[in-house]
Amino acid sequence: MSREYKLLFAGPMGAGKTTAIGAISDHAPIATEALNSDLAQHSKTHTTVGFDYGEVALDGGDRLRLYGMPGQSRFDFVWKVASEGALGVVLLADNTRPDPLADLAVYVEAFRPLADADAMVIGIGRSQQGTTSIDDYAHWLSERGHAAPVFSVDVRRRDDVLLLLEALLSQIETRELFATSSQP
Amino acid sequence: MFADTPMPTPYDSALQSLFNQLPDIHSAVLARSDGFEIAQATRGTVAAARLAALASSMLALGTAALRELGLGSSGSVLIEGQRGKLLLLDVPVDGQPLVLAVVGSDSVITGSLLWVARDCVRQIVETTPNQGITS
Repeated sequence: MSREYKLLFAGPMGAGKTTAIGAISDHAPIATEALNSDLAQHSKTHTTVGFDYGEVALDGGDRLRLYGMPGQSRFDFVWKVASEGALGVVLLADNTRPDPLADLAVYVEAFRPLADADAMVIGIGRSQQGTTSIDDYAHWLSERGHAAPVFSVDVRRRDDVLLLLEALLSQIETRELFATSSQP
Repeated sequence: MFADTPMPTPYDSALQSLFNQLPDIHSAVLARSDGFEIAQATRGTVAAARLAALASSMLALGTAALRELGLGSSGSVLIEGQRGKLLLLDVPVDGQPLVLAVVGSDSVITGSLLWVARDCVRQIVETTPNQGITS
């Protein structure tokens, strides 16, 4: 039987959520972008204020439904609404931001049910820049009891985004397998 | 009635006019399309920053739905609850589109709400200088 997976992309403003969905969606994503007036936060011209939506059809009839969240915390109501029924979350980090681990903490907390279920992967953008290493991210997550895979990615590249989704689906399926095998 | 500002702006005047026309309006917030509040008026209290962000998101989602259906790109969203109504309107200002959120009581007549809110939008557009940027 074919399945539908509702998956979220979250992370700070400018981390590449809209770009990531655009790189892999089978159709032009539905976008809700507005002119960005907060140039102190990020210099990009537009920012997501509702959510992005894209789809990917998988072999066997399964389908990924992808929702890109707005990055700014003033839109946290969107995070809560979109989390309903979500099976996993891709957290994107921008390694050039002043404190990317503090950014990560915000989104791990916001999507805590998914994070606690290890239905989460981390994609680090611009990882060659900045001073935070991939190991730093992995260590930070491990210290907090999260077993999320961490990848260095360029979300403009379809293969990089697919890698994140494959890892996330693997996380989800492992959890489900474990839950099934644990049942009496 | 208005938040502390040294001088009433044209936006404050437009929101005041909105209030004067319809006593069943509780609050009005004018925001940038990316969710930042720039003017507000209320007869009580309103979480203006929160309403600004909500209005931005919901109008953007409404506009996305219109676009998907081929019904245009600019519009309004009306939400009716048991104790009141929320109307969101696109304010098509060149360079920095704005969003007007108007909260009315349950007794407000929808047609009247739409009429005065659209008049408010017209005033705001007429009094806003072109920002010189296109979205």
